[in-house]
Amino acid sequence: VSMRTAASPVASCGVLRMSDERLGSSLTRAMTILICYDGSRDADAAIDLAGELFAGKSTVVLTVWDGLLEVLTRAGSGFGVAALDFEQIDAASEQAANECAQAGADRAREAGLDPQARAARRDATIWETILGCAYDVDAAAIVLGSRGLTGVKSMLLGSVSHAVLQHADRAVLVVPGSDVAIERAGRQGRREAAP
Amino acid sequence: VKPSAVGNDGRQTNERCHHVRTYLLRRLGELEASRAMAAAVGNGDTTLLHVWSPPAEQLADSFSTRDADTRLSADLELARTRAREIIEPGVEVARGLGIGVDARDERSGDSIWQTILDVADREDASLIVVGTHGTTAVQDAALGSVSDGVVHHSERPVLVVPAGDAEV
Repeated sequence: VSMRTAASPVASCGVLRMSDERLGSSLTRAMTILICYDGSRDADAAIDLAGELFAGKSTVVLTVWDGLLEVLTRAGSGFGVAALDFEQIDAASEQAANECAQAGADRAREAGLDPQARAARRDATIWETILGCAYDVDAAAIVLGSRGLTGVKSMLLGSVSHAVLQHADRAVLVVPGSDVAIERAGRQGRREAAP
Repeated sequence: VKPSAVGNDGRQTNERCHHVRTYLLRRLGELEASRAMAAAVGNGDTTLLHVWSPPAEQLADSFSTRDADTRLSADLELARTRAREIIEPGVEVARGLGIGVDARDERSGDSIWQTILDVADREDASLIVVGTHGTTAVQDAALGSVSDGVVHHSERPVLVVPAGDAEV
């Protein structure tokens, strides 16, 4: 999943470990599912599967957005920064993220979940934002679509699912998008289903 | 609902793996407790899979002796026995959670993750569930190589359940 952008308050969330106490208490708590959503078809597929697995569950549909300052910082700010209205552009980004998350929540509701939409601004990395949100809502599981980027491509484009998996202290459901699934089925030289 | 495959990492026989595996099921139970996973996992079409491989050193050693065949088969038998010892408590835990599982062990082929994917293919699993090892500083680089392999090569959804604070 490549989220639109990022920001999150809990920088240290990646190293949190579930204590036995938390484990015990979470047995009796209502469960929340966190779905990361960027409006892509892959993310749609993730919502649909989550609907099957977690029907009726409280769900947060998260869209992450990039602050302009962070975008420019990462890009080396080569263009005329002074001419840009940061507040206006950020507001537009946030608005777009809200709409995206809302569209995801609508889909989630149709899929049988009990969703609420949430947009979050990224500051460091997307995975930190995702894990920060998971911590906030005490998600029992994080659901991500996967574009299946590996190796060099994933370094350039950011394999969010990989990073989340590496750092998550809770269950993560990775849902391959249909293109990924088809490609992998081919690459596996998969035997056709036994006759 | 189509069947699900539950893949255990196959680093076979030690106590730690056993612990992690049990923890995986506890965590599943956590999900199951809220009945979220019940539809997918608790429908009786779940396979509890343990992938094992024969102890490599013993295997290599056995080829250098005259009794190679005898020792090889003894090693394999031992590995199978250990695999059963690992998987049976898992079945009990699953049963305790109300999840009926079809337990099986499979000898690893090229890699453990590949074997898991092969079984998932054979059973046309709708979901694969794998645990991860707890991380230590040393293991960090190779963190969850089995779960990584599964996630990066699977055409099916994969639920990765961390070992949490198990023995970290």
